[in-house]
Amino acid sequence: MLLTAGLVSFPVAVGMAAIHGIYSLSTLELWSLSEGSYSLSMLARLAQEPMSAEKLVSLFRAPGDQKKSARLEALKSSGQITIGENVALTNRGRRMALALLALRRLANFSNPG
Amino acid sequence: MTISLAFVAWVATVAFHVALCRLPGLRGPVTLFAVAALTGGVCLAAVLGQIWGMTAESVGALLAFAFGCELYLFLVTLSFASVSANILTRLLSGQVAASQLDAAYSGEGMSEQRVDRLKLSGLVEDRQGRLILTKRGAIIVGTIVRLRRLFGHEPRTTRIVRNNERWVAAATALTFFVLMIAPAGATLWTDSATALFEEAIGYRFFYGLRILFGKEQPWLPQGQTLGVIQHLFQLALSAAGFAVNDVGMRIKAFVGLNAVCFAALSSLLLYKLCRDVTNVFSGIAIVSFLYVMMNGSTAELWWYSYPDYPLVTLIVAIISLIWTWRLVTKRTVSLISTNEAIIFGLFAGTVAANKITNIVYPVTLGLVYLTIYHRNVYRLFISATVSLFAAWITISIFYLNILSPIMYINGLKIFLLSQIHSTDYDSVVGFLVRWTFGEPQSMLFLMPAFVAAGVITGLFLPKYRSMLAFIPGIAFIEYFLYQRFYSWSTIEAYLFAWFSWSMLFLLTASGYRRLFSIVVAIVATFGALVSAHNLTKRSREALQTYSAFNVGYTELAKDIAGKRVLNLTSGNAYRIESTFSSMCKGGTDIFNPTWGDSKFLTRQLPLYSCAVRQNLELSLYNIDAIIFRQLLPEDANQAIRRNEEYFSVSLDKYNCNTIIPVPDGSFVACFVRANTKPQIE
Repeated sequence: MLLTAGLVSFPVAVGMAAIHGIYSLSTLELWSLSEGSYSLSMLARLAQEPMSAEKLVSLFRAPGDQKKSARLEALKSSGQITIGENVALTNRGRRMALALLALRRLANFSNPG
Repeated sequence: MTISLAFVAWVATVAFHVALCRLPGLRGPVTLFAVAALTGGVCLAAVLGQIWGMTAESVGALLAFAFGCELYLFLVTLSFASVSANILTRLLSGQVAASQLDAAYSGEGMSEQRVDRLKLSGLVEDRQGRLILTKRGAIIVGTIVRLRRLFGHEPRTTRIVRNNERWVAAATALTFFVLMIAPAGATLWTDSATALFEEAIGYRFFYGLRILFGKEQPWLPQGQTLGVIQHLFQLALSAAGFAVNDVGMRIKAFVGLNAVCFAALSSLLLYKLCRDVTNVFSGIAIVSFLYVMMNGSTAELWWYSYPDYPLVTLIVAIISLIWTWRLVTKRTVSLISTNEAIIFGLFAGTVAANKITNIVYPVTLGLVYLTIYHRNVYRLFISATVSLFAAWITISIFYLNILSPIMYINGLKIFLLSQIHSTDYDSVVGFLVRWTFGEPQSMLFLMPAFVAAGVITGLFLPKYRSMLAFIPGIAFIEYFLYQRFYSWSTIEAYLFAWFSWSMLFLLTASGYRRLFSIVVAIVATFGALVSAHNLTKRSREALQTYSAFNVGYTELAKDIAGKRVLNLTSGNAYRIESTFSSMCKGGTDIFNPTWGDSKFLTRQLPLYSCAVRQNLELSLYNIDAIIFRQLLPEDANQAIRRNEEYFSVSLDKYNCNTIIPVPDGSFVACFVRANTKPQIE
C-alpha cells in the first residue's frame, strides 16, 4: 500500500516485509519449540527430578507413540502418504521428500533421527 | 540494487555453508551456518555502507538478507530434525511395511535416540546411573519455561467459560463499541467534528503531518504513545490517496479512524475482561459502570471521540483492571519472572509517554504486586525505571530537539510550583465549598468514599488487602482533581475511580452467589441506559452549536477563497472555532506560538496565516483579508478595537462588513479597501 502510494522505496518496502517475516518465523519457531519439543520436554522433566535413562525413556514411551501416530495421520490427511499394510509416498509426498532430502544434502547431514 | 546485492550475499552465504559442511573435522550444521551468515552479513553491511551509507535502503537490504538466512536455517533444521520429514525421506527408497515403520519410530526408540542426543550435546550427564542437567541444560530449561508461560502453554487455573457466557460477553463488548463510536459518528454526520475537536486536530493532526512529512520536531509534553499510533493513521490516509494539504475529508477520516480503532480495541479488551472475571454478569456491571463514569464528566463522551490522549488512557485503565484481576486471583507462581518484570516496565514506560498522570496505573499495579510478593518485587522497579528512562531518551531522540526535554523539565517545575502556590489561597474551606456546590468536579464526593472503602477493606477484610494498593492512587487523583479547575481534566479521575471501584466490586463479589452479580448487572445496565439517554439529550444541543460553527466556517472560507488571509486570535476564547483555529494551533509551536514556526505548513497553506501573541510587530503587508471572532457581549466594532489594541495594528484600510453569525457572536471578515493596499510598516 505504502509502496504503491510512493511513500516508501522498494528496498524499504522489502525491509519492512522482512521484519514481518523475521518476526513471524521467530515467533512460530519459539512457539512450536516451547509447545511440543520432545527433547525439551525431557529436559524439563529432568529439571524436576533427576532419574535413570531407563525411567526417562519409559515415561516418554507413550507420548512418543502418540506423537508418531499423530504425525503419520497428519501426513496421510495432507495427501503425502498412503497407509495400508504398507506405508508409501504419494506423488505429492515424493516431491516434498525430494525437497527435504536436497536441503539435508546441502548441509551434508547424514544421520537423521 | 541494494536488494540484488542482498540476494547475491545470501546465495554466497549458502554456498559458503555448503562448503563448510564438507570440510573434514567440522561438525554441527547450525553452528557452521552461524559462522557463514555472520561472515556474509558483515561483508554485505560493509559493501552497503561503503557505497550507499547506512540509509533506510541499506537497512532494508540487510533485513532482507537476515530474513533469507533465518528461512534457510529453518528449512534445513526442519529437514533433519522433524519426525515427519524423516518419515518422508525414509520412504523415498520404497514402500515400508507399517509394522516396520512402527518399530523404527516407536516411542521407546525415539526416546532412546533423544536421550543419546541430549548426552552428546552436553545438556545432560550421567552420574552414577542418574541423568542430571548440566548448567547449559538448566539454562535451556529456564528459557523454555519462560517461553511456555509467554505463549500460554503452561496449564492455568482458569475458570470454565460457558458457551452462552461467551455470547453475552461478545454482545456486551459490541454494545460498548456502538456506544463509543456513536458520538464520533454523530459529529461527522452533523458536520460538527472539525469545530468540536479543533484543538486535537491542531495539535495531533497537524503536528503529525509536520513530523511525518515536514521533517519537523514540534514538541508536545504529552500524548507520545498516541502520537505513534496516529502517525500510522496518517500514513494510511496518505496511502489511501488523501493529499497532505487536504484540510477537509482527510481531517474527518482521521477523526473517524481514531474513534473506530480505539473503540474496537477497548471493546476487545472488555470482552476479555467479561470472560476473565468471576462471571459474565460481573463483567456487564463493570462495563456499564464504565460507561456511566465516562458519561459522568462535564466533557461527556466527547472525550473518547476526541482524537487525543484520553483514548489511550481508557485502554490503559482497562488493561490495568484485567492485569490486577489476574494478579490477585490467578497466581500460580511464587516469584515475579524476568519476562513479567520486562513487560511491566514496558507498560510503565508506554503509559508515562502518553500522559504523566497515567503512571498512577503502573504505580498501583506495582503496589498490588507488593501485597502479594515481598521477595523480588524490586525487579519491577528496576524494569520500570529502565523503561521510563528509555521512553524519555526515545522521545528526546525522536524529536531531535535538545531543548525539548529541558522544556519538559521546566513544564514539570511550573506545574509543581503552581501546586504549591495554590495551597496559599485554596484552603480546605475552598475544597468544601466546591464539594458542596458541585462544580464540574461534582463527583468528587465519591473519592473520600473510595478511600474509606479501601481503608475498611484493608483493616477488616485482610483477604482483600490488595485493595490497600489503590489508596495512594486515589489520594493522588483526588488531589489532582482538587487542584484542577479545568473540568476536562476530570477524565483521569473518573477512569481511576472506575478502576478502583471495579476491583473492590470484583474482590468482594467473588465470595457471593451468582444472583448478587446479576442484580448488580441489572442495576448498572439501567444506570447505563439512563446515562445514554441523558447524553443524547445533552448532545443534541452541543451538536447543533458546533454544526453552526461549521456552517459559519464554510461561509467564511468561501468568502475569503483565493485571498491572502490573516486570522487574528487574541486569546483562546477568541478563536474561530473551526479548521481555521486548528490550522493556527497546528502551524505554531505550543509554548511560543508564532505563525511561521512550521515551514512545512506555511508551504502547504500559502494563503493562510495567523497571529496569537501580543507585541509581535504584526505586518499587514500583502494581507487581503483579516478574520477574527466577535464574542458576545461585545459588538463587531468593539471586537475590531480589541484586536487593534491587542496586536497594535490599525484596520482602517479594511472594510469589516462581512459578519457571519455563529453561536455567542460571529465570525468577522475584513477585506482590504480598493486602492488602499497596506504598505510595509
